[in-house]
Amino acid sequence: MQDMTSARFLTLLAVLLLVAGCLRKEEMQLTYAQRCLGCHGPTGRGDGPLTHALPARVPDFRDTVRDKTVFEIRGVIRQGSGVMPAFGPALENWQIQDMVRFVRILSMEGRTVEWWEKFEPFVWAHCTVPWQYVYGVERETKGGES
Amino acid sequence: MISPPGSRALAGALSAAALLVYFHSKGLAHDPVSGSSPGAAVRRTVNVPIGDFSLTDQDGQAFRFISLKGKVLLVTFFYTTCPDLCPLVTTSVRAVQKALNAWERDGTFFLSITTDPDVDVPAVLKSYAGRYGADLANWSFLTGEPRALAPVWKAFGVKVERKARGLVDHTLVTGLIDRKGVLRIVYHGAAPDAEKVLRDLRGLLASR
Repeated sequence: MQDMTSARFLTLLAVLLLVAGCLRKEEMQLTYAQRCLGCHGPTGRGDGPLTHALPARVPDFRDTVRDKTVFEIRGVIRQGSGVMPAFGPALENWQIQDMVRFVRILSMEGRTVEWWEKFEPFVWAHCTVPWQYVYGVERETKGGES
Repeated sequence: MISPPGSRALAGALSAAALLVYFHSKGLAHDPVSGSSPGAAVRRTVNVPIGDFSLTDQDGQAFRFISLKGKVLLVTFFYTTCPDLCPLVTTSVRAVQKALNAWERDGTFFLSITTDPDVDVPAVLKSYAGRYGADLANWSFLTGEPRALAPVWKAFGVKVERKARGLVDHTLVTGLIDRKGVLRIVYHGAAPDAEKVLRDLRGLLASR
C-alpha cells in the first residue's frame, strides 16, 4: 500500500514537472529570440545575423557555457559582457532564469551529456527542443536501433 | 528509418527553423520602424536647427543642450538593453572619440540619448558608458521623463515604440550638429562607419 502511494506521488510529480516545462516553452523561445538570437544564432553557435558586423567574435555556447556554473551564466546575462547588453535592469528574475536554462540546453547539442545534465532538458525543454537534438548521437547509439 | 546522424541533423534543423520562425515573426528590436539591417548607414545632408532641451545625464545632473553651443555634436539614439544595432552604434562612436586629437576633442561633444527611459536611469547609463570605455569628459548619456524625451526624438525624426520592458523599436539615427546648433548630417538605418563620421565631423570642426 505504501509503495502504491509513493508510486502515485512520483508519477503525479513527474506529470506536473512535464506540464510546467511545457508551459515555459513559449516564454523561453520568445525571450531567446528577442534578446539573444541576433548575435548567438538559433542554436547558440554564435552565428546570428548580426555577427559579421560585431567587433568581436560571438562564442559558441558549446565552448563557453559547458564549463560555467549557473551563477556565472546568470552573471553574464545580468551584467553584460563586452558589447553584450546587461539585461539585469530590464528582465525579471524568471526571465533571466529562462535564458540561463535555454543557453545551457543549447550548449548540450552535439556532445555527450552527463546523466545529471539530462534532467534539465527533460523538465524544461522537452516541448521546445527535440530529444535527439539535445541528447545527440551518443544516446541514440547506446540505445540501439529502432 | 533515419540514421542517428541524419536524425540529429534533421532535429537540429527543425529546432533552428522553429527559432528562426520566432525570430522573424517577433522581429528584431529595430525592424518594424526603421527596417534596418546591419548594412551600411544612409548618409544625408540636412539643415535643421535644433531647439534647446533639458534632460538628465548619467550622473543624475541636469543637462541643457544650449550649454554645448559652439561645439560640434555627434548625437545618437540608443537603449542599453538593445540586443541588435545600438551596441554597434556605441562602438562606432567610441572609435570616433578615440581618434580625435586634443584640439578636436575640445571642440566636440557626444550625446547618446536613450529611447527607453523606463530602464535607462542614470545609474544604468553610467554602467553602460563604463563598459564601452566612454570618456565622459566630452560624452554624456542622457535620459529623462518620456514627456521631456519625446520632443527630442521628434526633432531628430526618431520614432519610438515600446514592445516590452527593455525592448524598444526605434529609428536608428545618428546626427552631426554644427557649432551653431544646426543638424547638418544624418546617418540613417544602421551603425555609421567611424571613418566616415570622423571625416564629416572634422569638416564641421574646420568650418566656422
